[in-house]
Amino acid sequence: MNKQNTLQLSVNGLNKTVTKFDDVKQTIIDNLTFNIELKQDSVNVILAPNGKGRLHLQLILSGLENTYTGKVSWNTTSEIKTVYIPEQPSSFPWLNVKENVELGLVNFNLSKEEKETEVKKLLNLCGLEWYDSHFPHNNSYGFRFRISLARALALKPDVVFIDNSFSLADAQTRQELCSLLFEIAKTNICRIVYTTSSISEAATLSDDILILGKSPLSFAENIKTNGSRDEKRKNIAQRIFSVNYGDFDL
Amino acid sequence: MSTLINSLIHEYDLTANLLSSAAAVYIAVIIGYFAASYLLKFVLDKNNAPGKLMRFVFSYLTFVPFIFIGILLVFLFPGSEFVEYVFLLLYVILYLLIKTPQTAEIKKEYVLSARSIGIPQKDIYSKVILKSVQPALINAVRNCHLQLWTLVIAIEIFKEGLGIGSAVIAASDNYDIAAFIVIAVIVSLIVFVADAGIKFIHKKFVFWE
Repeated sequence: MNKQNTLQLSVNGLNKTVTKFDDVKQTIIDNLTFNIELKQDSVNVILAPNGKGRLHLQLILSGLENTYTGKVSWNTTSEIKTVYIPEQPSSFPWLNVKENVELGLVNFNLSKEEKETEVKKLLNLCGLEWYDSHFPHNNSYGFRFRISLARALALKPDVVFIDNSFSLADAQTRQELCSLLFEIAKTNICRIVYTTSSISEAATLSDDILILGKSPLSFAENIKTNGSRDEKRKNIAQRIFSVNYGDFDL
Repeated sequence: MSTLINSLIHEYDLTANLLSSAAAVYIAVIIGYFAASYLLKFVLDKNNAPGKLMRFVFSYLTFVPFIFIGILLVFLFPGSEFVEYVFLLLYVILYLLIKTPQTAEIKKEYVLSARSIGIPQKDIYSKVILKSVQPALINAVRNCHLQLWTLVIAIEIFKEGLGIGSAVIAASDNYDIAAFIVIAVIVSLIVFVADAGIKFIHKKFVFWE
């Protein structure tokens, strides 16, 4: 675990091309450059438009994709452990909550008792303490996100990249999940990077927002906002529309 | 009635013939299921779908009349139970390998999550992909099971030796309509019960679908 207060992620001249329909090549990230300081006690937010290479950017940042050009680096020489939580529910429906979370511990050499304790701690942290034997097969997106988060935290990562995972949940659940992220950020167990296309969600989660935009993804801008959530939302929306960054959800 | 039962058991040797056909069908289904579960990883490419060449081969195989291959094998190896078993097993494996990827839903997010939490690449197939294809695989087994009975009766009609097809041909030679109908009813009952069994297994072990 990296104990530095701020961890900086630098992306320099990032390019990503994908092949569509067997042989048509499309550039989805074009010479993207940005720096983001990942704070430990708050949620770090990246606001990026829908369908403009956001998924690939997340995969590159979390180390799951390595077919790109450009440079992605951290301001530390020690290895940064990252976990990625996709937009769609990703808890395995054939495993119960406890078994899902235990999967995150596969690479740790823990005794059965240690494993039990660790899982219990994570379930408590993510509000799943009474659901260890439940199976996540339903459309309760909030429930399934909590499982994915607990499983991700089981790896004791330095950074958790969360990709717009609240988008499918209803308004009340979204609010609860935002509070959960705040709580987890405050425990300082890892840094959280939440990527969203929703201006409201970005305004709720943070004052410092990295906006990525254009098609292909090529522009980045750090903006600081303050005031009430509505004021922040208004400021962000004004900035996005004045620069024509792309399609965002209000 | 007792005469009919008596003639079915003694004249048509129904018990042995039925057991022989049922064994051929269900041994093929059981071994075929496990073999296809193992072999599917060679069919799926890195996008967890059959590659271009595989798709072409499979689309051609869909139109191959396997019944002719079965009958040809029966002519080449007359009376061989082994050839019948091997043919049915190969049919099941091929059927499952062709049909399963067509309807299987391997969610990209499951595979990405598995990679992200550090499940080794070799275990992703057994822990994620194989689980994801189970609903489609068992549905394919159900469909294949129904076809298999038709196939086994058809090739046993041409085969010398044990099998329900031999009883059907004997009843037909004797113009014994009652025996013919009873055999059909018994076979349909076996297929019905076995299908219910597969449905039960589906519900019990693939509960997340």
